[in-house]
This record gives sequence, structure tokens and C-alpha cells, in this order.
Amino acid sequence: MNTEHVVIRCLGRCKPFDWLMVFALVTAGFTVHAATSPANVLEKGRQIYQEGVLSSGKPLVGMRLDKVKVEGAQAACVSCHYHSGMGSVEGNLQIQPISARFLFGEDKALAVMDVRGDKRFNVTHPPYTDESLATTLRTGINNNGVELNVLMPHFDLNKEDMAALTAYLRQLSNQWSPGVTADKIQFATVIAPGVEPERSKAVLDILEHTIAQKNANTVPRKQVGRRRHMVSSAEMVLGTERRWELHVWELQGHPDTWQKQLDKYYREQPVFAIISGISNTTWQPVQSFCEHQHVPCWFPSVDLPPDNAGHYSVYFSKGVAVEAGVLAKYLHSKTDRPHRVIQVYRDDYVGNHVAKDFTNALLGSGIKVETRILHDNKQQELLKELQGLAANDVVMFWLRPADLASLKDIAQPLKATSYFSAELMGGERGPIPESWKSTARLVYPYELPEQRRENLELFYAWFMRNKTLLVDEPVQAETFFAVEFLSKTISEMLDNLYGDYLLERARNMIGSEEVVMAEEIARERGKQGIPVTAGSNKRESTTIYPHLSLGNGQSFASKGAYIVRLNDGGKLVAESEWIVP
Amino acid sequence: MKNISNSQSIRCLLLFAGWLVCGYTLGANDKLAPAASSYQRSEAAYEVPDVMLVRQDGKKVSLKKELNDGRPVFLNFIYASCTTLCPVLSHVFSKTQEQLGKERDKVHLVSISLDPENDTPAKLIEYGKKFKAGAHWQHYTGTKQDSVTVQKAFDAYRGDKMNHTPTTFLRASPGKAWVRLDGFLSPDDLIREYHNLIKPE
Repeated sequence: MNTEHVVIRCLGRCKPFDWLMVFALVTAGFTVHAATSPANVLEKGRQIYQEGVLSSGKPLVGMRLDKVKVEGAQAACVSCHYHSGMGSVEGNLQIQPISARFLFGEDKALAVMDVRGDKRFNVTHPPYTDESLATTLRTGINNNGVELNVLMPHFDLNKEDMAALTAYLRQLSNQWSPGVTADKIQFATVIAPGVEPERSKAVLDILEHTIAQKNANTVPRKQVGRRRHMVSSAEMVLGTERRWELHVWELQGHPDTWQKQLDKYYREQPVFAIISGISNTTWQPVQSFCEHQHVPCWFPSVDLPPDNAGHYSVYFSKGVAVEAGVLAKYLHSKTDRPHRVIQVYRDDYVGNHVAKDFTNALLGSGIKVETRILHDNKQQELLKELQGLAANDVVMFWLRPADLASLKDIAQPLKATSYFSAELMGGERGPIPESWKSTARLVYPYELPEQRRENLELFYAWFMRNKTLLVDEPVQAETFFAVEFLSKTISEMLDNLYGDYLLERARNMIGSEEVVMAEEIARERGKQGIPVTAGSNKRESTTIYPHLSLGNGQSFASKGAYIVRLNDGGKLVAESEWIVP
Repeated sequence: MKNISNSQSIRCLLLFAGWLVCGYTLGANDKLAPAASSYQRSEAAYEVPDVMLVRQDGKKVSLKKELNDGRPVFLNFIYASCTTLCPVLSHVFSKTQEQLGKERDKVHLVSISLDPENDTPAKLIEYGKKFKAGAHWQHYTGTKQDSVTVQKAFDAYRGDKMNHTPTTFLRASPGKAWVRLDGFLSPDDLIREYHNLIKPE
């Protein structure tokens, strides 16, 4: 007897009990449907895969090394196979991909590429079935009859859990992310309002030029015969090179409206990632867009990213927040601590946040922290007040070049020591008042100039060839790196173009890739007979930062800063070691 | 007995040739996994470097002093954001401290960060909590340079932290040789190695 029959029967002459039965049947129908609905099953599978929680709510349990039990989060597939299911290489351990195409696909051309693990042309086993997958998980023997790695736990899941996990795996990274087609990848960059036109133009010029050059060299699979340059052998055989298209997403108005604007841009043109970008104020709405739409936000040039980065964003550093932490730690550790620090800043998003960060960082240090907001037309008054400070006072200027310039011409010598933010000034070439230069200090989150010149060989070479104007070296060098590193990472992903995988590779490999690139550049210099300069002990970086490093769950690649001063010749001299707050 | 026709044998030959070609590309996938609990044991006289590290309680400490308070030392290298190899190593430490029972108060478990710039003392405490690290199991961070110095001293430096291999070190007391255990071992293995080490001769 089904629900229909009961209802029809009731419409005639129903007793309350009949209606109760109808209600019960309908509700039961819905409940059963809900419990086994595809969405529900997938969610159960996701919980097993990502959290190590079974349908029963109990922890997933696995046996490793035949006697070591692992459970819960530590047993979860994600901890070795990652969100994308693409696995990775750690030490000597090669963790296999377990995404849909690799487990169940028939695509023999699929491959994974890792410079440390040799190029591997995968899918060497027949496609798994529901049964053979369950068997493999239970016995640790794959469907080629080969034992899995000793670290892979054995899992004995019940029918419901196995069905849920299998359903989850069958859709895991089973298609390219939005913005990817067989021949093209779509990207966007984001320009926030309020950025100096010459700086946003500098970012766009680098993006457009480097991408155009990449495209000029790219020959998509249909025209393989006309290839004009060597790509990796894997790309050549598999024809996975694609052309890139860049869209410029300019934001307008109040930050509260930005996320909606981005959603609209994305609806009209889905993109694989947001590459670079620039903002003088908040970046939170862009990060929220990326988090919500699962789009990687790739190394923007921003002075103050959100402190909590989320999964989909990777940044060069925490910007001025690092500077605040470093300066506080430095001043606190000095034997001749200043009596008082006056912070001068603009009443804007960055100014207000960094002043608060710095004040908090010095709580309990015994150093008095005061704040002064810079107002237009009040520069003279401010300077007069600063004149009255004692020698053991410190003034920290959280100011951009335009604001410093307004002080520069009217500034008189200071007794107090002045500190400046290299981040906000765009490096050491900012307009520091002449009479202050001999005692001025900079909080300097970059590599020191001589070593940095070596790091940026490739960037400078490109610069000269393209006759580009140097407007803001840090931002331009950052943008250049963003494209280069993205290009390298994507080429190694071959046909596995999933947003999660892009970020996993970036997080795991940025450190080692930088070292490989730096060593290559050094070798080239050696071949060309270019003499070795003073700062050439390190082969770790191709950027303005001493080293970039990330990891699972990490989003800020550079974590510290130097304190530097200017010597008589205007040259930068380190006053401290690299400080990490 | 059925005779194999010519076309069939050609097909067989081609399949075999194809298999040979594929075999070259099979690479690491089908390598036999090492037998469970196979690890290599060796001994070495590593010199503990004279560096200051930052212990998980935030104190700046001399590594030499930390390792030389007379207690037997178990030592490994980890980093807080590692989700693959490090949890295995730390899990073994965790089970070992459990299985040692009262004996654990006599030993010093030491885990040194391969990613000190990210691994603040707070992050290390959080990491240790996942493995129920007791008071005798301390995690250490410091500067990038000092971490590299310590890794090199133990011949455990492999460049980027992602290149690290699973290695556990044991020393019965200051002045004695270090025992190096490369590979994956179970808590039982580790305890057996430890007992063999401190056995009176």
C-alpha cells in the first residue's frame, strides 16, 4: 500500500487515524528520501574524506603498519591526498591521486607531474569498481595486485559508509574548474578604487605583457606541429598547454559593495583564478568572494590583507601588520628602549588597523604608545609638535609617499628617531625629509638591496628588454613573480586544472621552486661570466623577499622584516637580523 | 591442443611489446611497498650545535643544555602544518609515551620545527595537544638559520621542509652515540630500541 492509495481512500470517508497514517507515510517518505538523497550521501562521503567522521558520527578508524591504529582527523583521506584528491610528494613518499579520473576513469593520457618524483604517466591500473575499491581499502592491495604504501591505512567500512565515500570520490575533481576549457584558461585581476593610477597601470602593464608573451609562445594541442619553443616533455606529449585570457575587474564605490560586483563579474565570466591585483585599503571583500566562489586569489599586492586568510587566498605577507609586529619586537628587545613611541598615520582603513596592531603589540612593554592622525593642512602643527620630542622618543610614520612629500619640504631636524614603513613607502626610495635621513630607520620587510638585486635578475632582465618604467619596484616585482610562478605551477599541473590543486601545489612547492629558480638563474649568470657580487651566498629567492614559504593551511609566504638605516652614502644598512614577530 | 594462429601470436607479441613500453612508464606506482615496520638503524656521533632555540613555553633555551640534563633523549623533526609524515612520527611518540607508562618521566622527547617562522610557540603547543604531548615531550622553534643548523648537525637537512624524511633519533645519555632510525617504526619498535639502548652492559 503506497501513499497515493491511502490518500485516495481517505478523501471519501476518513477517520482521524487514517489521516495520521497518511501523515506518517508522507513524512517517512520524505525522511527516507532525504537520508538517501544524493546530496546527503555526498555530504556523508565528504565528512569521511575531509574530517574522518563516519555516517554514525563515530570517528573513521584505520590500521597502519598492521598494528598502529589511526582515527578521526588523522585518519581522514584529506591529510595525505589533499582536498583535490591529487595527493603530493613529501620526502621520499609519493602519495597517489585518488580523484575521480584517477580511480574510475578510462583516460589513459592522464598524468601527474612532480619535479621531485619523476614525471609519472598514471592511470596504470584498470578503473576501480565499487567492489574493488572497497576490497583495496580493506586489504591494502590495489586492483593490479600490488601492495599499497605502508603508510596507507586499511579501512573496513560498512556498506553505507563505503557507498558514501565512493560517491564522493566519483565526483572529486572530476572536471576542470570553471574558467578552464581545452584550449584556454580565463583569469581576472582586481583593481580596487583609490589606487594611484600609475601604480595600477604598472600592475596591468606587467600582467598584460607577460601573459601576451606566454601566449605568443603557446601552441595549443590542435597546432602541435607549429610549436616554436620547448615546453616540458609532458606538456608536449599530452598537449596540455593553454592560452590565457586576462579580464580586468575594476571595483567602484564602497567596499561593502565589492563582493557583489565581483559576483556579477564572475557570473558573466567565470575565471580559474584572480591573479595579482592591488588595493590601498581593505582586501576583505575580494578574499570573501574567492572563499565563497572557491576561486584561488593568487598573490595580490596589498598593504593589509585580512588577518584570517581562509583557504582560497595566498599572499606575499601580512603587509604592514608584519611591520607593526617586527617594530614592536625590536623596540622591546633594545637595551636602550625608547620612552615613548608616537605613531603618525592617516585616518583610513590601513592607518587605523596598523596603529591598533602596533599599540597592542607593545602592551605590557613599558613603552608608552601615542597616536597622531595626519590631517591635510595641519602638517606644520604636527611637525612643530614632533620637534618638541626628546631624543629617547620614537616617531613611527605609517605614511605613503604623497603624505611624506607634504612633510618633506617643511621638516626641520628631529631629536627623536624617525621610523618609516617600507611597505607603505614602496621601498627605501620614498621622500624621507633630508634632515632626518641620518637618524631615520625603516621597517623593511624585503631582502637587503645587494642580495635583492641578485634575486631579481630575471625581473630586471625582463624589465630592460620591455623598456618598462620603474614606478614601484615591490609591486612590479610582486606582479611579475605572480605570473611566473602561476605559469610554472599550471604547466606542471598538466590537464589537472582544479582550483584546489593549484593552491595545494603552490603551498607545498613555493619554497623549493624558488630555490630551483634561483639556482638556475645563478647558473645562467655563471655561464655568461657575470661576476659574483657581495650578496651571493643565498640561492633562495627570485623575489623582493628573502624567502617565500607556505604549507598546508598557511597563506602568508614571507613572515618578517629587517630594521635598517641609511648610511652617509644613502645606502641601506641592516640594524637587526631578520625579525619574525 | 589448439594451435595459436599467426595473427594471434602477432597480437600477443604486440601486447607484450606494449607492456614493456608501459612498464617503463609505470614508475613508482607499482613499486612494492616496503614491508611493514622496516626501518634502518645506524649509529653516529652527532655534535649538538651551540644554538639557542625557543621552547614551546616561549623561553629561549640552549639546545645543548636541553638535551644534556642526563635523561635519555628521543628526537625528531616536524612542522605544525605538515599533515602527512609528521603526524605519523608524532603519533609514534604519542603512543610511545603512553606505552612507557611511569618510565616516561625518565625520558625527554624532543621535536624540533622545520618551519620555525610559521611555528610559533603557540602553534607548537596546539600541535602537541593533538598528540597528547606530556610535560616530558617538548617542541622547539627559533630562527630559520638555527633550525637549519640543527638539521645539518643531525644530517637531517634536505633543503625545503617538504623534502624531509621520517627519521627518529635516540640517545641514552650525554656523551653516548646517537642511534638513527630511518623509516617508519611502530611504538613497539621504538620502545624496543630504547630498552636495548639503556640496557646495562
